[in-house]
Amino acid sequence: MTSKIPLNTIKISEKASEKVKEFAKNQSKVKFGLKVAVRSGGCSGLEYVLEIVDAPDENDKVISQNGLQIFIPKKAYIFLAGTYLDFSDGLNGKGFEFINPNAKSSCGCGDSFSV
Amino acid sequence: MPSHRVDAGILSQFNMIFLENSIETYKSPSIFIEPNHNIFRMKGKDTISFLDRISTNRIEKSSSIYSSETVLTNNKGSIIDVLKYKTLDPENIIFTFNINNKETINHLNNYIILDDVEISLEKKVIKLSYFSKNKNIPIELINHSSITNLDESFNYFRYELFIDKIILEKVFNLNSINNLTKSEKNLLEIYLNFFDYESTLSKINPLETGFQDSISFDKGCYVGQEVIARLYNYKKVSREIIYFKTKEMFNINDSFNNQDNISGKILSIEKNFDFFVGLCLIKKKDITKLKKEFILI
Repeated sequence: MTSKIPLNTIKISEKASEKVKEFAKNQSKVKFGLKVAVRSGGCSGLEYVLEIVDAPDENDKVISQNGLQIFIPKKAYIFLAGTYLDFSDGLNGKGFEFINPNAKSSCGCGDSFSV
Repeated sequence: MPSHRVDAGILSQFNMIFLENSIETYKSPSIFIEPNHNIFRMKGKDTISFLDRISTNRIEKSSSIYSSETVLTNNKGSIIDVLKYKTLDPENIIFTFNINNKETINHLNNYIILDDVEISLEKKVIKLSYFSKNKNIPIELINHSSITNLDESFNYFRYELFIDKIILEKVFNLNSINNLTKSEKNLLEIYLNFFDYESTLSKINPLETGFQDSISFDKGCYVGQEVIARLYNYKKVSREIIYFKTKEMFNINDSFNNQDNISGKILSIEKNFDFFVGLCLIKKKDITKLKKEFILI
């Protein structure tokens, strides 16, 4: 699935989209978007950041998918281009899961990566 | 208070006495001055969080007059550099390195992606190492030092003070105290088991080189944490620092394999009479193979 994702965008699965909407509803958000970013940290050097926010920042790239707006800071975009964001629940589920073609390695829990 | 003292293993009594005899000739207190050290400032609202995420120690505000220490490691847990730092307020940290290279600054800057953090050169200073058999130190040195590090080993205290040269010359008469040569300072630090990270070293883990006190094991993720935590929790640290002596000169980071098939890596070395002595890393499983005198060649 990830190989089909062009490098000029990121994709989010329907299940992940629904989960984000559910979290937003729980926070009583009506107008919102999902901020997807990267910052230093985690065992591997770069960690993913997911946040429900009201509006994009000035330098955010905005992508609409599955009725959800995704905001990606331009500085983080080079680390995320071509990424597929999925969600798996249940007892063995990992929660939100990034399948990132830019990641050369990632830590055991999958929350951080190196390029 | 961070201390680099490591439990160095076997050094022959004979050799130890020679080393002790050398050290005993040094007056206490003694100083050694190294020029050209830099103090940097990390500034911005994400400063504490940023440094906390990319280094081993828990970064927090401290009211101590002494600096704290944190280790920068790569994602394999190998040391890149060691920072001595002081948190001035939630948005300002001043720090200095063991090694003054641009690569460490580049390493830090590479990790600033979205964080509100800016790193700049604060000032050029000298590093004054002050060795004393008691904890007393002239108060004017402490008062005028931007960053002060204190270590203790074998009833010796080592202060590292990062001070503006002009101010130092105004407040303290450097000729009133014994000045060590570079060789004397190195021998004293070897004797005291002080290991300072050098730029030529590579693939060194902080757990095997005495930096345990500069690692937080409960703060959560930081760069290199997965490897360091695994080594610590599963007790898999495989190497240990010991003293050695040799007839031949080695360079720091040189690997060796002696006639008893003990291999390791040189961490520090200095001439002492007809021998060279120093600290090296060897595999723990080889400790039992060591003879009383651990001679490389």
